[in-house]
This record gives sequence, C-alpha cells and structure tokens, in this order.
Amino acid sequence: MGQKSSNRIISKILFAHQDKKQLFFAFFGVLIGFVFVSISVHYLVLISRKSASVEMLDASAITIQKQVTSSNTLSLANHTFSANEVEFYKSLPFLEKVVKVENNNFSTELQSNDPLVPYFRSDIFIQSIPSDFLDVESKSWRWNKGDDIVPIILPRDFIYMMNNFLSSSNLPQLSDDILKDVKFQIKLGDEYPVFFEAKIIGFTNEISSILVPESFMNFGRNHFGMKTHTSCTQLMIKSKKGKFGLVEELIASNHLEVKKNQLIEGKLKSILTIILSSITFISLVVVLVSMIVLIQFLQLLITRNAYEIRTMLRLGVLIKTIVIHFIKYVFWGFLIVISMIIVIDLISIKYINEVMSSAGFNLSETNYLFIVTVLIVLFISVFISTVISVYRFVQKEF
Amino acid sequence: MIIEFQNVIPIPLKHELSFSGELWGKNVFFHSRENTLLDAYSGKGKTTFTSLVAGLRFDFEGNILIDSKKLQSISKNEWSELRKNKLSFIFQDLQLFEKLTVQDNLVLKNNLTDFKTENEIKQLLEVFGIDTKWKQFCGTLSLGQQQRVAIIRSLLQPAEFLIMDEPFSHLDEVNTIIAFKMIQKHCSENNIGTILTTLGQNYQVQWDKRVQIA
Repeated sequence: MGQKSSNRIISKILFAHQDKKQLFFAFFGVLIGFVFVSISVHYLVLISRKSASVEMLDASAITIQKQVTSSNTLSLANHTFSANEVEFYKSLPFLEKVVKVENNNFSTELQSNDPLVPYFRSDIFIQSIPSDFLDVESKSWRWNKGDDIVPIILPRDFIYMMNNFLSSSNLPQLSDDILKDVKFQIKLGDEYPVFFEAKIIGFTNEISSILVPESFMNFGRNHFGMKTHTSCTQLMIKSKKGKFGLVEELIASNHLEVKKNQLIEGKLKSILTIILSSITFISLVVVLVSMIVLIQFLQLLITRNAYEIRTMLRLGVLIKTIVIHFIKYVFWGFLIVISMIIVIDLISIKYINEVMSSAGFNLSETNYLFIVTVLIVLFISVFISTVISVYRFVQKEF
Repeated sequence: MIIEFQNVIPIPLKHELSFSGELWGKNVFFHSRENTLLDAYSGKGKTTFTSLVAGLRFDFEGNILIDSKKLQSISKNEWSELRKNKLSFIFQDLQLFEKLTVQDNLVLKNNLTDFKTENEIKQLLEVFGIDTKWKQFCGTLSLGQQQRVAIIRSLLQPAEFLIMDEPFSHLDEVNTIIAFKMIQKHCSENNIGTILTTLGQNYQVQWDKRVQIA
C-alpha cells in the first residue's frame, strides 16, 4: 500500500475508459502548429536580422527621386519635390514615414589622415536623414556643436572605389572593421575652413552619398551654406509592413526612381514577410484549435468521470491530487510532441537552408536558441492554459 | 469537535417541513464524544442533514458551524482535510467506485492516511463474510455486500465523527448486528462520536442523544 498504489488506483478511475482518438488529433494539431510557428517565426526574424546586419539603413526604407530624363536635364521639367508633393506622399496610408533627404549646400571635403592609407582628398557630397531611419545606436549617431568628431556612414561604393585605389597602389585592401579605425578628416568651407575628425560607424548600400547627423548638416548650412534655398531632390520613405507592393505601384505611376537593389530587396522582403506572417497566423490558429480540442478532451474525460471525481473529493482526495493526475497524463504527451517538434524543426530548417543555399540565398545562420525559446514560450502558454482549465473543471465537481 | 445547527432550514424543504421536530429551525449541538440518533420518516431531511454536514450542499437558511467555523467559510482544502481526518461518512447511496475492485475501493481511502494495514482491512471483510470478494469489482456485488464495503471504508480513516445515513438499509438482521458492533467497537477504540440517521429503529442501544426530525 502507499502513494504508488493510490496513484495507480486514481489513474485507473480517471483514464481506464477513454477514447484516445481525440487526444491523438489534439496532439497532432499541436505538433503541426508548433512546427510551422517555430519555423516561420525563425525565418521572419532571420530575414529582418540579415538585412540589419549588413545595412545601417532601416531595411523597410527606400530613397526615391524623380526620374532623370532629357527634359528635366534641360530644365524643362522639375526634378525636385515641392512642399505639396511631400504632403501628398505623407498622406498616403501605406507609408509609415516620409522625410526629406537633406543635402549640403556648402563646400565639403574628405581627406585621409592616417599612415595606414595613402593620402587622398576629395570633394564630397553629404546628406542627412533622421536617425529613426537608421539602424544605429542613438548615442553613436550624435554630434553637438563643439564636438571634434563627426560620426559618418559611408556608401559601400566608396569602399570599393578606395580598395581599388589601394590595390592599384600595391597596398592591402581594407576590411569593414579596419576601415572603421582609419582616421579621416572632413573640411567644411573654403575661405575659413574648419576641420573635423570623421568616425566611420557603418556602411550603406542604399545611399550613394556620405551620411552625417542632422545637427552637423545644420551646422554646416548655418556657417558655410549658400543663402539660396536648397531644393529637395530625394525623399526617404518607409512603407508599412507588408505594403511594399503599393510602394512599387507608386514608384511606377509617379515616374520615380529608386535603387534597383532596394526595390528588389524590399519587394522580396515584403512578399516573404506576408507569406511567413500568414503561415505564422495560420499556425497559431492551428495551435489554438488544437488547444481547444485538447481542453475539450480533458473536459469530456472529467464529465465522464464526474461521479468518480466527486466521490474521490468526498473521501478527502485533494483537488490538487486529481489535477496533477490529469497534468501528468498530458505532460507526457506534450514531452513526446515537443521532442518530435525539435527533430522536425531541425530537419526542416536544414532542408530549407540547403534549398535556399542552392538557389543562392545564404540563410544558414540558424538560431537554435531562438527556436527553443519560441517552443518553450508556446509550450508554457499551452500547458498553463491546460492546467487552469483542468483545475476549473475539477473544482466544479467539488 | 462540535457541530452546531443554528435555526437551519434547508431551502428545498422549506415549505414541506412542519418544524415541530428538534432539528430544523432549532439550535442543536452535536458533540464528538456523544452518540446521536437522528430519527425521522422518509422525506424529512435525513440525507439533507448528511449532505449539509459533509459540505456537499449549501442551500440552507441559518448557520451551520463546525468547531465555531461557518460552513461557507471553510475552504475546499479544509474540507478535504476534514473529510480525510475528522469526518467520516456512510452515504445512503454508498458512493463506491463500481468499476474498481473491493480492494481498490478500500485501499484508496485507507492510503489517504495509512490508517490500517492490508491485513487489518481483510480481517474486517472476514468479519462481514465478504473476504472472498477482495478482487471482485464492486459493481458486481449485491447491494448488501456493497453496503458492507461502504461501512468498512468509513472505518479506514482517523475521525472525530462518523456520520451514517441509513447505513444498514440493505442488510439483514444478522449483518446489521455485526455491522453495528463493528462500528461501536471501532468508535469507542478511537474516541469517535457517531450520528446515525434512521427510520425509527434504535438498534436496542442507549443513545446519548436522540433528535427527532419532523
């Protein structure tokens, strides 16, 4: 006699006569739902991280400008954005943000100031955009009047150009990390120039000019700028999630221009985001339905055994003891399902990565910790709701 | 332990009772050192009394107190504790698990407090002449045999009260005497007070208290 035999007897009372078909379908649903949720969420995060890791500019933002044609080259057509046009773009419901890209209207030079690279000097074109369009820590993207160091973001084309220059001078090419340590100087103005140390904090594929903080641009304009009004030739826009298709239509219908890789990447990301979000949503519905089936199964089991549960409670068996029996019963099911999900996830992700890799997309940075975290969070939510439901059902019989 | 009824009126019986008896609508105390006989005709609330004291029903007016604590303020865990260690019952509908064997029915109750050994339980069955039914499913026993199993089960726990709702209704005279003696012996050895509801029999015993329900 003892606890063990009591457990055996209680299990016999509760689970001896039951139809396991419904339980099987519930767990099967949980399995399918969890597999799809974890895989789709994994790729959703991977896609957003992938673009963020190589690009300083917000992945969902693009710069637009009017198409340059022979007529606007000859000043027959306007290639700048008027205030009304900016307002029009701001009013579009599928755009989250619209801002002007500010250009310099003063003389700016960039020159090397480091023994690591040969001396060079070049007139440059600088631009600034609000920091919320940049994937950069706000404290590193800050310049205040009086600061000697200006943070800058270099266009990747600039690095190619520089590495070509180094290569032709029989010097070693510079990696991104080394380049961030190379000292550069920015010279503002001609007559009474001011020098600043430039600190490279990142690179961008999406903009062809050097990016500086807005405060630095304003300083340059105030002290060295021409008095004439600066026209706006470029806008930076950010579409709402999954609305990139509408941005594409806007670009085509308004004869706008955008960097091709921005367009392709944006379109691809938008499509993938929609597909993966839909899969995540459907999978969550599957998980929810399975949970309802599982809870219904347990409710049915409790209803079928209502007399037995009531009798046990009348004998002095604790509610907790009965609930624990139900939880132990489904816990093993959950454990088996979770183990199967992990195996299926690993095999599926490996397969998807191989397929993507053979198609030229390298998405092999699988974050297993993330997948496990997603599974644990889902598992805990399902488990807790099951425990609460069972506790309520049993308590009703008291 | 003291069970106190203060002007208790079961709501479903409110319009049927005459209140001329000594329980409903009156102040009554039940002490665990006493043996009480609750005597009434059918339909006067004997089973209602057992259900109320067991905490199975709360549809009544007035107050019921167990050791000065109102019934409604006893938590579910406290009820489990009371049913496990202080209040033992023989319900009229027996409350056995028909799909379990006699052994499982008795062991489940006994294991809550490890009150008796398996041999002691078997000896009780032997006294009743049903020791051969140890491995038999309760659902296959006669009502009389089931009632004897229910009586034995009520003795497999520590208690301050044993409350019996017509516990011998399916037993013949011989088995009634055996059962009554077994209960008396068990209760006097363990200082357990009894409350027995009956349809007029007094089992030729001097009761400490006799409460007439009407």
